[in-house]
Amino acid sequence: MGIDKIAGAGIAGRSFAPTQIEREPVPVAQRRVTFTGSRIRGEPQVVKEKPPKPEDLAKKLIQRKDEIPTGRFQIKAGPDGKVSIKLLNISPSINFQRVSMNDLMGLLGKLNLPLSGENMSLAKELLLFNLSLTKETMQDVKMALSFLPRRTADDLSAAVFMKLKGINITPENAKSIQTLFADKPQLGEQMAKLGKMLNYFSNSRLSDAVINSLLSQLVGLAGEMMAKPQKGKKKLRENVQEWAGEVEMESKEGGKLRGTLGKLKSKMENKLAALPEWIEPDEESAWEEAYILLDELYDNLEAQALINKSISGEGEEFYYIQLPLSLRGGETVTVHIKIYTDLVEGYKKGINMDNLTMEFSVETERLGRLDGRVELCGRKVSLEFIAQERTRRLIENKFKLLEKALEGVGYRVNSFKIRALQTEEDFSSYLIKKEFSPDKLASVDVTI
Amino acid sequence: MSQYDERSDLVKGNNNRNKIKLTSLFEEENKEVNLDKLRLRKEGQYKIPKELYGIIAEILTFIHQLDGE
Repeated sequence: MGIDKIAGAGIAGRSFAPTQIEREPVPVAQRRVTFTGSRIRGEPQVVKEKPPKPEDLAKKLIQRKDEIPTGRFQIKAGPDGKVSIKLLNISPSINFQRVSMNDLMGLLGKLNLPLSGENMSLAKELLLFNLSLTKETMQDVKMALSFLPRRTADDLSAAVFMKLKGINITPENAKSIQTLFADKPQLGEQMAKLGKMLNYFSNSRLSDAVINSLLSQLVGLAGEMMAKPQKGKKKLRENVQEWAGEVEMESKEGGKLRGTLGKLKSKMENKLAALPEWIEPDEESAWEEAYILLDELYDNLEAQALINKSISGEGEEFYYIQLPLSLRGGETVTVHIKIYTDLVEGYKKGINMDNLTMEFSVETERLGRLDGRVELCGRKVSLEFIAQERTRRLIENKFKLLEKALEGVGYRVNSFKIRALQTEEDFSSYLIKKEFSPDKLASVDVTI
Repeated sequence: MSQYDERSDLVKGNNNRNKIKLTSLFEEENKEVNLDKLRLRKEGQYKIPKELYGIIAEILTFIHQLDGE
């Protein structure tokens, strides 16, 4: 990739401040440099575009056909003869399976919206995620879509997610959420690459003192914050709290890491725009890849912060945090955690620890994919793990350790179960699935 | 026939003395967002208790132990 392209159109679709550099582009073999060690590997390699997923909305609708719809109702009768029936709980199948193309066309017609393919897809997606189909919602999601800087298969989910979570629809926010949905960034792996990147640039002949200093700060901070259980429980708790600050679960305006990262990104942009002409293609690729890594890391933290800032204490909202965890074999993995709770008033003002559900998901080389759910009800805790067969046996053998540890922090394990991992859901579904809110499905008021 | 229509038909099975109001997904929803809570949360008024970090730390330790086996 020539520098002209970087300055004008941005790297991989990311936009830079336009900088005029008059130079003919030099055709070079497309290379991808990977920070996998002290020395970069720059083997020519064709970078394959991910094949676009087929539109799967219809599939989602069809899949639900086999389920038997069931519902739970609450009936309240008032002295004035007014009876209200509220639908409390419903199987997912009842919700949208009967929405046909004709229905959608009717609904769009009711809103005076054109019956275009785009509007039909959008309307279906909104209904699937239980958003009310109004002109305003349609416009908001369309605006979010227009701000997405790249075209990916997950665009629609990303745009609907912004609306669902009440995230401000701005170009910057849209870019961060799109990165989360399309690139599925893993903080652990990003942190591990950062260290390798520093090693490379400190030995580079184009070494830049300011960038190296910022990069050292960043790597130092990241290393300090990395969750390493062998360093003790107190340190681990502090690490978790620091990450919570970085992604604004703690209502801080970003943490030190994000601040340093922001400065470094801006310095890197200037550096890339001013790279000398005689630079080796490998070296140029390394700078480009470094910038992309920093940009994705920044967007990953920003997207988590956007989700956490949108919590208003109403409905089925969740905090979302990724934690980098360093394992014994040297592998650094990402633990994804979602926390569903509400906000309580009074002397315990804060998140409601008496009624809280935490879901986590991690994948390691040895354990494979491991999902879990922790439910707190007062001082009682219910645990559920979903794991592959080999890991199931390990959990059964080691479970007493977790039980004791939880007792140590004041919680008694009330129930414990392990389920076999059937199918692995994709990352978008992981983020978005809980947004179905059955109690908002429908209500019927009947006056007799 | 849409979900909306089917439900209307079901209720129409009652006699005409009944006055029926049906709200569903397809109608405008008066979603009330507690702006006050949102503002207070942004100001850091709603804390995350340290014990939550303790529980997360125990989970991380457990994953670490499982992987180390």
